[in-house]
Parts: sequence; C-alpha cells; structure tokens
Amino acid sequence: MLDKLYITPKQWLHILRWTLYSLLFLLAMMLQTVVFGNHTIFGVQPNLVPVVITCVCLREGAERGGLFALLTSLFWCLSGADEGSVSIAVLTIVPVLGSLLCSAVLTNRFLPCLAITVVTLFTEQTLIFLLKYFFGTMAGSRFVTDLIPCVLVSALAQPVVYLLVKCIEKIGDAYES
Amino acid sequence: MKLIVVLALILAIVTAISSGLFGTTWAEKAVQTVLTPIRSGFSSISRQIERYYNYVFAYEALEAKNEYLEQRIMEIENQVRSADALERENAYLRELLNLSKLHDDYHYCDAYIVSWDSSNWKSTFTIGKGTNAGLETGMVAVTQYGQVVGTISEIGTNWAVVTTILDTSLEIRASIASSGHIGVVQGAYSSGEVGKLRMTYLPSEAVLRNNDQVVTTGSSVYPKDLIIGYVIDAGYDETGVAKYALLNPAADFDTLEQIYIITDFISE
Repeated sequence: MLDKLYITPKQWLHILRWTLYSLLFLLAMMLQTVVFGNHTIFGVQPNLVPVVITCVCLREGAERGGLFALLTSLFWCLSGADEGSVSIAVLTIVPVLGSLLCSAVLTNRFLPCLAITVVTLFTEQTLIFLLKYFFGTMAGSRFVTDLIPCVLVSALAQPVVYLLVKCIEKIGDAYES
Repeated sequence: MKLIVVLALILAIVTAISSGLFGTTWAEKAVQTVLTPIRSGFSSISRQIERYYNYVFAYEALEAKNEYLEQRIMEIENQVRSADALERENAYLRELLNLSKLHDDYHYCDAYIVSWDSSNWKSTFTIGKGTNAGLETGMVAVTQYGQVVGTISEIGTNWAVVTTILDTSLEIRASIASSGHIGVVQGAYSSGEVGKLRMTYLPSEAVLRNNDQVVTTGSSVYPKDLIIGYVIDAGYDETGVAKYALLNPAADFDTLEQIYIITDFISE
C-alpha cells in the first residue's frame, strides 16, 4: 500500500504546475476584488478571472483545462461573484468549446487565444448585463458605456496572463516528451 | 468533456436555485470564510503600498488637511441641518433632535473593507467581521461622519457583505432635510448617473435646491437623520406627476477603507 503513496518526479511536476495555475487564478481573483475592486481603469473595473481561466483551458486542452475551468468558476461563484451561476456555465463552456475549436481548426497560439478570451468575456458580461436589464436594474445604454470598455480593458491583461500560463505549462514537459 | 459541460450546466442551475431559495449557502459561507484572511492580507498589503505611493508623491499632508476640512464641514453642516429641522419642530422636539443626544443610543462596531465586488453591475464590498463580532444582516454601515454607506446583506463567521446605497437593489425611505418632503432613494442605474443616487416619489410641489441634504427618515433598519447625500439635479419623472432628484452620495466611496456598523439603536 505504501508503494502506491510514492509520488514520482513527473507527478511532482504535475502537482507543481497545477498549483501554480491555481495560485495564478487566486492572484487574479485578489487583484480583481481587492486591488481593482474600488478602483477603475478607464472608468470600468477589469474582469481578470475569465482571462486566466480561458488561457489555462486553451493551453491545457479541453479535458484537463475544462476541469480546471469548472472547478475555478465554481470557486469564483461561491466566493460571492455577481451572478456567479452564469459564470459557472459561461466560464466552463466557452473556453472548452474554444479549446476544441483551436485543436480542430486553429492553433492554441496567442491570437486565437486572445479572440476566445474576448468572446468569453463578452458572453459572460452580456449574459449578466441582460439578466440585470430584464429585471429592470440596469439601463440599456450601459451596454455601450460600461460593458464594451470592460471587455476591452480586461483583454489588455491577456498577453501577460498568456505568457505566464505558457511558462507554467512548460513545467514537466521533459517527462512528457 | 461532455461530462464537464453537462456538470457546468447542472452546477449553474443548482447554484442559481439554491441561492434563490436559501440565500447564502453553507458552501458559499465556507469559501468566504477561507478567503477572508487571504483578502485581509492582500488588502493590508495593498493599503500599505497605496500609502507609500501617496507618501512618495507628498499627498499625505494634503490628505490630512482635507480630512480636517471635511470634518469641519460636516460639523458645520450638522449645525445647519439641526437648525433646519428645529424650524419645523416645536420646542420640545428641538431638544430631542439635538444630534449629539440622538446619537447617544448608537452602538458601533468598526470594520475594515477587505474586498470589493468587481462587477460593474453591482456595488457591494466585504468586511473582515461577521457574526463573531455581533453583526447581523440588515445592520446599517456608516462612515465616521454618520454618512450612510449601506446595509449588511450576507454574513458569515468572520465576514459580511455590505450592499452599498449605490446598488440599485437597495431602497431607503428618506427626506429632504430642509423641507421634510419624503421619497425613496436608490442607486441610479442610467449610464450617465453611475455613482449617483436617485430620489423618487417626491411630491410635485416639493421645492428642491442644489446641495439640499437628504437624510434617512428613521425605521427599524435605518436610524433617523443619517446623511445619505446632496441634491445635484431634479426634475419630473416619466409619469409627470411626481418629482425625482439626483443626489451625490455623502460618503466618499473612492477612499472608503474603514466603516462603522450600527449594531444597536433606539428606533423611534
């Protein structure tokens, strides 16, 4: 039984890789809620969590990345995110579909990743906005004044996040090849 | 992969239904309880960096001066507001409406803000105290100057979520201090009015002037005469029979770090 508890160097590197992804997610979450929570950039609050989830999902593939997206979006929802239920569905399904699209038609390089990140951000924000709009707590004009700038400002963080995810992804590569 | 997508949909539906039926679930409470110390740590580091930055750029002296002047303005405004109210009340009520006496029955609990809701469509923040400090949902949060910040909407052992008065979901019965006209204040939701408040259901004969103070009317939730904001614009609403006023919130949400929760007061 003790033999089964032995962790191989390859497994250690996998644990390290996913721990770093989780820390990156936590860092994005803290930046979003603590640092930028009460400050705006160009009049809007950036949305960093979808950027991290999408980048990890696209680089790691639909299965492993999808599971990461599901767990982190669930955690994001439980941490008190606005309309968190929408986030669970969107932040899992859109990156998974994006990852499938990348592996089938495109490549998981920077530009497709940026495009899918923008689609994820836009879908999530639009669904939340529509919920608020139909319940009468949001004016329609804020779609243009707040939602679109929020998506664009959040997408500005994508190159940095993409680079970090790419570096983390390389951990354990030697064993896999 | 299909399983992940199906699981995501099921979890989305389950969390939506459970939060709708039961409010804050045990899972949310557990996550928030774990996150609060991390957020507190991040928040204090962030504050330190911000203070250092301000120090470097020599804003500290200006800030202190600004704080002193704000306090002076609040003292003077309190005196003016008392005078406005005294004009409308008889001699006996004048004694009762003396602010210092009124505030004797308040019991406060101070708390630091550890995180803000990051959504552009909602205005809430989390504080680092909860039921362990005697807080409950529905309690009112104010600044050190008695300006209304919001109410506690969710609570856990070591955390509480405060929905601010800027959120469109919060409605407060309020009155114009100088004239006594009563209306309902809530967060303004139009694009040009972000960060402002909207006072509705004001009678058509209400006379509204710029910088008129708007205060709470007093209820089992809100103590009387807490300052909500100042009138900056007014007009007739869509029906044409009632007036509305656009208000600047009295509390400065941009620099808010510490708040005071009124844990007990004598409601009139």
